[in-house]
Formats: sequence, structure tokens, C-alpha cells
Amino acid sequence: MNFLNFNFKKAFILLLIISLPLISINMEQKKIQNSWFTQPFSFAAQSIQSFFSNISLGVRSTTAQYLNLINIKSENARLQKVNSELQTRLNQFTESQNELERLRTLLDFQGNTKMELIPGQVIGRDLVADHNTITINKGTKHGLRAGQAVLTVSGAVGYIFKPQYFTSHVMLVTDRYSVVDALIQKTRSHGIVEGKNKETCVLQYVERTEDVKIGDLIVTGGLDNIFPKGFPLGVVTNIERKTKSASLVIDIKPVVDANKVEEIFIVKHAALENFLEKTADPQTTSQNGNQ
Amino acid sequence: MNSLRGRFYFKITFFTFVFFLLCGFQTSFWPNLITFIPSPQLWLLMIFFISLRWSPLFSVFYIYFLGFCLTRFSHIPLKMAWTTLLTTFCLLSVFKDRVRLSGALSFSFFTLLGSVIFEISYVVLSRSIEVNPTSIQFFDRLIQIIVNFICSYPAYRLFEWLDQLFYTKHIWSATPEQGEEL
Repeated sequence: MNFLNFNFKKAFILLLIISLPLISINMEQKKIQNSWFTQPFSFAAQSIQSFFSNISLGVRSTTAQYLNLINIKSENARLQKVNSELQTRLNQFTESQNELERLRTLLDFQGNTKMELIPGQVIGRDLVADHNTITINKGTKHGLRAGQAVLTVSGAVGYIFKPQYFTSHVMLVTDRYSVVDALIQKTRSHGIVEGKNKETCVLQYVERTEDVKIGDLIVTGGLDNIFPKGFPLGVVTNIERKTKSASLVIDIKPVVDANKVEEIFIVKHAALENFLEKTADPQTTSQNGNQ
Repeated sequence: MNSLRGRFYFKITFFTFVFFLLCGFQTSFWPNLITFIPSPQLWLLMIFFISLRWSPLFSVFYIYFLGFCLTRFSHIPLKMAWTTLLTTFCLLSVFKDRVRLSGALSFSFFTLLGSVIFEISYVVLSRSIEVNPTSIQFFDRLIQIIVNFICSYPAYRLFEWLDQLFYTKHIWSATPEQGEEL
């Protein structure tokens, strides 16, 4: 039957093999990639690709993190070093700024007062804890003598009691041997401030009838010829009214913490400076002026 | 003998210099760096060491001299310095031969004891002979005693080393040997 001895089956397969590329070429030319029958395959391919892509990304990032651990460690050490350097610089900057602020305040104070002041620094504390004295870096060489007031911008610190050539010992107002004339700013009643312990003084010889309250400001009286009148000394913390005593015993806390003082002023000449006049009520001053 | 006398004077001068250094350390170095813990009273520890190790008769007068030096660094009246140090020295001498300890441990024990005696005698004597007596300040004194005790071991090593530098058996034996003149 088959005169040419032709294998139709083989010929069909061969035709199919040749025609399929031709069909595909034809389909490409017609741009039917997004035709309906390709979409499910596209979707499946995208999903699978995304799945493997995510896995590979995860593995790669994990591997990368693991591989970078060594670098991270060294980088971390380097950053910590840089950070500590920057922190140190920041601390130095803050400290410099604070010092600048403090020195500016001191200069303002020195410039705005009639008093002749000598700036000084605290270089030592008392050897025995029972006594509250400090040592400053100015002495008789700089014109200091016993009985000169030592103060800061905030308030009175003490007075010089043992001047030496290069240095001087300052008795703090909290020392139990210290005696300073003082008055209550609000009532203008005088008293004597004596040292009690490291953090407290006692205001004595104030009449029982005086209206004193906790929180009242105690200022220097000026009668001792050491401190200028009206300079802040302390704040009332406790009032004791003994029944058989004619006077009050008032505990005060100094406005200046002598344990933290670094820079001080020695009053070489007070020039009759009166801080009470400066801090007087403006209304009263204006009324007096009008009169 | 001249050599021994020379070493003796040199030792006294050197220990006085060290005493001044310790006082300076306590007043001007420590408080500028550490404010939350009181400075150890190294000068007092040196006095304990002298009381325990040196010849008693000489120690008393040398401690008086150091007490005078002490007033250069403090407002402490000379009467308070001398009476308190004498009391401390006497009581330490009483206990010295009654405690069977040696070396650094012994010194630490006597530092603890001496610091307690010093603080108590200061308060008692202040209330007896001062017009403005000191306050008790219990916790401040307690912390001071503890700090002294903690620092006693390194201080002992320092004093021991200094003492050995100038050691002369004939003069500095704590208890003279038989037939030997002090």
C-alpha cells in the first residue's frame, strides 16, 4: 500500500517540530503575550519566582549579616571610640561653656560694684573635719589681711583669718568660731550669725516678737566692718522659740555651699557698698524720689 | 655615731616632709577630685604608725611637733591638737602590748581603734576645753573611721617601706635589746 515506503508518522513529527517554531515566530509577531491562556502561567511563574526570590533574599541577607559580623564588631569598636571622643569633647565644651558663663557672671559682678575686689581660687580644705575653713590662692603678697570679707556672686562665704604670703585661710560662716553681724532682710532686725556645723548656721539675739518665717532671707548687717551691708548670707530653715528666752534661735542655711565653691572674691575695700539699697522695693524708691 | 645621728636627723626631716605631703594630699588634692567620700586621714595614720613603732619617749615629742605642723593646715587650736593626739597616743600605748597581732593586720586593727579613740576624745575634749564645742556628727565620723580603716593597709606598706629605708637597729628598736642603750 505504501508505494514510496513513506513513514507518515515520522513525517508528521518532523513537520510539527518545524512548524512549532514557525508558529511561535508568528505569535511573537502578533504580540499576544498577554493573551488569556498565558495569564495563568504568568501568574504561576510570578508566584514561584517571588517565593524563591524571597527565600534567596532572606538567605543572602542572613548570610551577609553573618559574614559582616566580623566587620560589624570592628566597626562597632571604632564607632564606640569615636563616640567616646565626641562625648569627651562635648563634656569639655559644656564645661567650657559653664566656665565661660561663670566667669562672665563674675566679671559682671566685679564691674557693677563699687567695691574693690580681688578674685581668687579655692585651693584647699580644712585638714580636720571639725573645722570649716578653706585655703585660697591669694595672700599678703596680693594685699590681703585678716578680717577681709570673702564672697561669691551668690552670697557671703566667710572672712580671712590667717593670711600668709602666698595663700590665706578663710573661716567659713559655718565654722563654729565664726561670728558675723546679720539682719533679716524683711524686718531689718539685727542678729549675730554663728557657725553650727558643715551646712548650718545659727542666727541669735533676735527678739521673740520679730515676725520671722521659714524661707526668709538673712543678709549681712555691715556693723562688723567685714562684709558690705545687705549681702545674702542664708535662708531661714528652722525657728526655735524657747519659752524662757527673750530671743529667737533661728537656723539658717547659707546661700553658698562652701564645699562646691571654686572661685571667690576678696573684698579689699567695701567703699560703703550697700546692697540693701540696690535690692530695695522699686515702688518705695520711686515714692521716696517723688517726695 | 655621727653617721647614726645624721641618719636620725635625716629620718626626722624626711618623715616631717612626708607628713606635710600627706596633709597637702588630704586638703588640696583629694577634695578637688573626690567630693562624695571624705579623704582618708593619712597624717593620723602616720601618727599611729609612729606611736606603735618608734621609741615612746621620742614619739611623744615628735607627735607634739607634728601636732603643731597640723595647725598650719587647719583651724584646729593647738590645745585641741596636742590633747587629742596625746590621749590617742597614751591609749594606743596601753593596748599596744596587749594585742597579739603583727604586721599589716596589727596596723589595721590599731588604725580602727586609734580612729575611734581620736574621734571620741576630740568630741569629749572639745566639750571640756573649747568655748564653742564641736558637734557629734556621728555618721560623718563613722564614715571617716571606715575610710581610715580601708586605707590602713596601703598606708602601712608605705610607712613600713619608709621606715625600713632609714632603719638603724641601735636607735629605732621598739624594745631595746638587753644591754643596749636607746
